[in-house]
Amino acid sequence: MSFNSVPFWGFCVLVVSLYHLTPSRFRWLCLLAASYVFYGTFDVRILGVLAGLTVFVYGVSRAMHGASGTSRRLLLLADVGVPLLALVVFKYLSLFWQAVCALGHVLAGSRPADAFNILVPIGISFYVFKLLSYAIDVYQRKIPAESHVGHFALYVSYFPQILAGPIERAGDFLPQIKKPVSFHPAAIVAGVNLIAWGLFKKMVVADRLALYVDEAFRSPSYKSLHLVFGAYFYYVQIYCDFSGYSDISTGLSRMLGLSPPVNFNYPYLSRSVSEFWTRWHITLSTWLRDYLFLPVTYAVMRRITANRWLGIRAEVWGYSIGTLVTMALGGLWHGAGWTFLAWGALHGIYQIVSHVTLRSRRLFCRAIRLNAAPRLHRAIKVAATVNLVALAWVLFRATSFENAWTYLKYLQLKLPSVGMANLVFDLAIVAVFFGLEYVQRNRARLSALDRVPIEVKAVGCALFVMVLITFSVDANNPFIYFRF
Amino acid sequence: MTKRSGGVRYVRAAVVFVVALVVFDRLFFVALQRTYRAVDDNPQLQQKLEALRDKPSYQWLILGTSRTFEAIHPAPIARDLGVKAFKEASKGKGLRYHYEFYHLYKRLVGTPRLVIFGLDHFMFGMESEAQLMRRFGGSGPSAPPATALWPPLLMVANKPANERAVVRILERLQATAVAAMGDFDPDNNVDDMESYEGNPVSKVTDRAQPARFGTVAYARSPGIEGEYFTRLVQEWNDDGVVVVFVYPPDYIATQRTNVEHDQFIAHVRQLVHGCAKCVVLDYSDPVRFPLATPAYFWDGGYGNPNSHLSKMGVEQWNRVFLPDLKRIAAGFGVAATRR
Repeated sequence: MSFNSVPFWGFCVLVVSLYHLTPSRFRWLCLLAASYVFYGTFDVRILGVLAGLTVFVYGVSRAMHGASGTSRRLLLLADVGVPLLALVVFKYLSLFWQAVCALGHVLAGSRPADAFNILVPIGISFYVFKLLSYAIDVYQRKIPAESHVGHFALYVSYFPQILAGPIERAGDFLPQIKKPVSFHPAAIVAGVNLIAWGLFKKMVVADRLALYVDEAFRSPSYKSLHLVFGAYFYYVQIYCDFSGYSDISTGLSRMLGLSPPVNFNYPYLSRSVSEFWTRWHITLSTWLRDYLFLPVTYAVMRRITANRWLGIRAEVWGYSIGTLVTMALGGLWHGAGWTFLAWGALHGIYQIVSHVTLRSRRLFCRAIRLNAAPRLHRAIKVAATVNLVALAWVLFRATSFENAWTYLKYLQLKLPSVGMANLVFDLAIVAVFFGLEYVQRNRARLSALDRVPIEVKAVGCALFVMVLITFSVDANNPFIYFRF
Repeated sequence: MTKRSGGVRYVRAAVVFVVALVVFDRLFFVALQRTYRAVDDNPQLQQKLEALRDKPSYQWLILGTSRTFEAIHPAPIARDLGVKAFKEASKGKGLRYHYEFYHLYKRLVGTPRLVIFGLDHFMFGMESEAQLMRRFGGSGPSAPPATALWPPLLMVANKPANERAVVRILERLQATAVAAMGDFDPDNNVDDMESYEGNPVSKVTDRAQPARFGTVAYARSPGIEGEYFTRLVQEWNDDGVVVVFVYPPDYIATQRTNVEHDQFIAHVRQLVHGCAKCVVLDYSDPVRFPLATPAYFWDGGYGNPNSHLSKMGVEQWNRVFLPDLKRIAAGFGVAATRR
């Protein structure tokens, strides 16, 4: 049941109605049952993995809560190790096995291995990260261990978030489901608005651009200018696909009276790659920052006792190693493939280069008086970041390094004689999308919109729905991030 | 505002929403249908059909789908066999379209002496695009009237057809843009049709056969428009036209994807059995053509049922096909002679 399918919307209407009709103290049960039914529709067998990990982490965390010293550390090791092991086994074992066999093939001439045909539980990367953050937060005594197994199971399996996030922290989610929620039509309207916007992003923009992008990547050796637009369009496609999903997920949560975290904040307006990661998939970025980057950085800095090592400041060592490890592993988190690892590492390199050249770049900007034109300065920074990120997306989208290299090799500005109508049409869709995003972003300034009578708003909504129906692609494309 | 008046406002807004949605649905539907009809009344098509009147020296006729469009070209036939052939082949043109086109051709040009009919694995399961059929004075796509109350949302009820309409509009805009740029348009421009000799690019990459891939059996006759095939064969027989049914080479991976190829050819032979001047030639056979050479094909692959020859493939294939064609034409007495 994908988020952009008709059965899913029937399911949602049923769940939201039942949820608001159920007495407050049993609502968690309604949502938990809905979440397990929803997850089970993909494959009943994956329910076992979800339930098993949930019960294990719940039990160990409860034990850890009352423990101290070495036993507490051992319990943390188990609490983190078992979900991580499950993630590695289900998602990465095949990749590692192929790499080992390929090495064996090169060194000893053994037979190269085929990929394992293993069942990968959908959304495992997301709920394992939820479990890990919960276990670490309990260990660090940021939150108490949850005593209600049902509430904890709902936190892990909550159906609007289980497939592709946001990766909400237990400290934010659990208090919300314990509070009684009253029914507000305004919350339902706000939720529906957000869902409609998410569907527009997914079905009209992302799916439409996917037709163009897929064709560009399928055989890049003859596409000329289409490859340039293919790279930019993929940036817009993946943004609309993933943020569209997040909007639908948030809209559903609002209808249920919950307030999930913001996951996207106009990432294409970032002035640096570092800023991009504070605006893109924010819940993953903050997770990686808190549970990977900071521990690795501090560990490196603790090991370098002097101020400088090899002429470089300890702080720079810490930042660089922390960033590279975090981004490379963050890249691998996105998919079991070496191109994902390289994509993450490239983002790490961008940030390290940006960090070490910060002073010289500032001096240069001052020398050419760019500081005197802040808008131009900002536009240059935004354009540079968009191009760097779009270039990296080529690696992310490519099926192999060879595919990425061919794509980049054939990038050129030659005007093609075929596909121009599609290009113009897609450009028009992108322009409309950014226009609507502008309106969304500047809603506070466009206060006249709030004074529009509700009946006129209803007409506007009807027009929007009709545009959605007319221009959505007639294909049930899965969300890109469901793979992760 | 009281709770009650707030509720009434929401109900009123909901009613306005529903009414506006239905109104917009009808407006969008009518606009799409009109645009769809308008874009197909393009000057290139008119020009092409007019050219039939202006250039009556065509003696042969080539019909088929996109496979034929990429494989069989008037230029090498004119060069090697000394005969002018008119080609009417591209995607969306099924058996019914060819039946209607043959009638139009007879009316404007006269009965051809020889027809080369390109066979397609899916030709019996293919429906001629309704919009293309309007060229023959038909009623066009049978869209429901916009005034009908049911279905409530025509744009939803006709979503696949609407999507095709959007694609078709884009294709036509593309063709118009290409024509405006003075670019090559062999599908609509007669001079370009006469000089086109194939697609110079190959996007086929040589890949090992995967352990599993999707296969497709041929569409059985009569299928969707098979009755028009029977009618055409009958009419050609009655008109005394020599008909060469040709299956152009498929890339080896596509040939393995489109299973039951031999049964399909046998089936066609059986259908044309009673036609005195009909010949069936099958070149999708590794013995007759090097099907495993990627450069000879524009596309194709394991699990991909579509395969078209590249220009290099056409040149290679013509070394076999044109002598066969010459021999058949000479055998039936329809070789190059000016009328």
